[in-house]
Amino acid sequence: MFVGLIILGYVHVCIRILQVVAFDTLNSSPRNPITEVLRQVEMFTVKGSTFFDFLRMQSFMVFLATILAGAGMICDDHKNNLTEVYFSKPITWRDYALGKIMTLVVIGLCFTAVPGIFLVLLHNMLAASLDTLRETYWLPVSITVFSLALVVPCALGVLACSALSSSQRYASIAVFMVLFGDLTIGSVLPELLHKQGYAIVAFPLAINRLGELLFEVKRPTYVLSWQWSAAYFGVVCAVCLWLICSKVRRSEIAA
Amino acid sequence: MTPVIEAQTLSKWFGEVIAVNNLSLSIGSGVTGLLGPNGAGKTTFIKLALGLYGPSRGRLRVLGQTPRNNLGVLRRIGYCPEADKFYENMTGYEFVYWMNRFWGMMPAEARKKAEQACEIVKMSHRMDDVVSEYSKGMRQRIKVAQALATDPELLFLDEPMSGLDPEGREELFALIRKLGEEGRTVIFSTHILYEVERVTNTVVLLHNGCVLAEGDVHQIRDLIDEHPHAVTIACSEPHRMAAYFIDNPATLNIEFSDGRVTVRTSDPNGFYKTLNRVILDERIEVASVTCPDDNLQSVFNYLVK
Repeated sequence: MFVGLIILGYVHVCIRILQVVAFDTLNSSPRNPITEVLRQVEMFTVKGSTFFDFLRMQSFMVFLATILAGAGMICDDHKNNLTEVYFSKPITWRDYALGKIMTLVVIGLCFTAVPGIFLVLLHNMLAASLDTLRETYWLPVSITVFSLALVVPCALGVLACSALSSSQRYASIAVFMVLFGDLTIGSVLPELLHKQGYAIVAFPLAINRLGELLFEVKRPTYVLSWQWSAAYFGVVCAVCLWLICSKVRRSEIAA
Repeated sequence: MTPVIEAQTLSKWFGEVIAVNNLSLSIGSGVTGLLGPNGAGKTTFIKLALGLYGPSRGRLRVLGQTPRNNLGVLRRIGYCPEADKFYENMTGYEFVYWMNRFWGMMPAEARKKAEQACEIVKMSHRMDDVVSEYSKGMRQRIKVAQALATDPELLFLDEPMSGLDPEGREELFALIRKLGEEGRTVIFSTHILYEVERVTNTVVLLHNGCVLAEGDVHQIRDLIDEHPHAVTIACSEPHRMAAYFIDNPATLNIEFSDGRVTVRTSDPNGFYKTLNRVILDERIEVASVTCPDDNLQSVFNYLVK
């Protein structure tokens, strides 16, 4: 199942590669009559927002992959009484927690930052002039930061649910419930209170807002403060991290 | 010589439950059996020694250092837990390998040590099978393998014999004895007294979180000499034999069965002197002299009472 998910995630990458190759190939031959036409097509052009959209679309795969890989990470160790074996080795609860988090973050980055940066490199390699480099030199940083903004809360959230649950299944359900509840509140609250700003309660929107900032994308749908988005991101990560650490520490004490 | 484990007024409680109560003991190198019924505090003591629990009170030193949050000590310890749950889709070899990696070995060394450990516990032929296909005894061996793989100076085995067939038990007895002879310290817990006797003479008896007795089995036996000591004599004339003990004030009880007489005495030394004299002077043919309660079960029963 996980392999299927990886393949599915990379189908999107392949489509984007085709887009970049086609765009750059046509751009390098300005006399081609199709070039001018395609330049007018938003979906076809390669610019900052292309990578933003790519990462946004990949976030769903990140979410699924993180749940699949991470929902059982802590609860299964508890269920199998393996924490006492782990902690009888020279590793601390910090090593344990960091190892779990890093594993999920790396998995997430394999779906986001790695192909994203590859696309930027490909775009530059195929580009006709150095102007592309001047226009896109900042993109790898934006891609990395936004990928981390997508992946880290996802990994921490899944691990927090895993730490609080007794089985992988319950942890997965809990993650879905939290996300569904959050999105519901985020869509209902602005309507009830007649203020669009409350949409920020929906965590994915807050993350998108950070992405818009990083990729200099203007979206007219929601006018949200990026500072609040950043604060929301920080609070969610901190709460999840605290939950993970407190549960893992407790398990070390009472293994 | 510095003891390997030294506990002073060590206590551990969980809420209102006292698991280890004011325990003071000293364990040297070699094989030591940690003996006691369920709930005696054996596993809690082991986990305290591993640093998995912090003491509620008192002091505990393992290999000369406090074990809590001490990775240096953990590097020198191997631990085989009581629970036999694993990731069922993992092979036995993978389990040992990953435990070695967690310990800090590089992949090549972890592979080599995992293979060696599987060899030691005689699991080489099945180490590439998934754990879900293992019998309870095989799972037990793999757990012991992961504890041995890091070549520890101090080895804790929590109920290692549970689930092993008689052959497997004998192999593990031999392995524990061998590890002791190599100069390692092996501490194994059990509630089955025969298992301790098969492996070592050094025993720590725990009950309700307290040390009832520690030391050599026979020294412990001496501690209870004030308790009745049963001696069964198989002889040609049991009733005539009994007559020489019946007037002795130390004799508490005499029983007869199938050409045997069992005498319970509160003075075993005096009893054996009398017995030797009777055998030599009265020419009563004696087939055997046995002490039915000269084992850890009786020691344990006496001390618990």
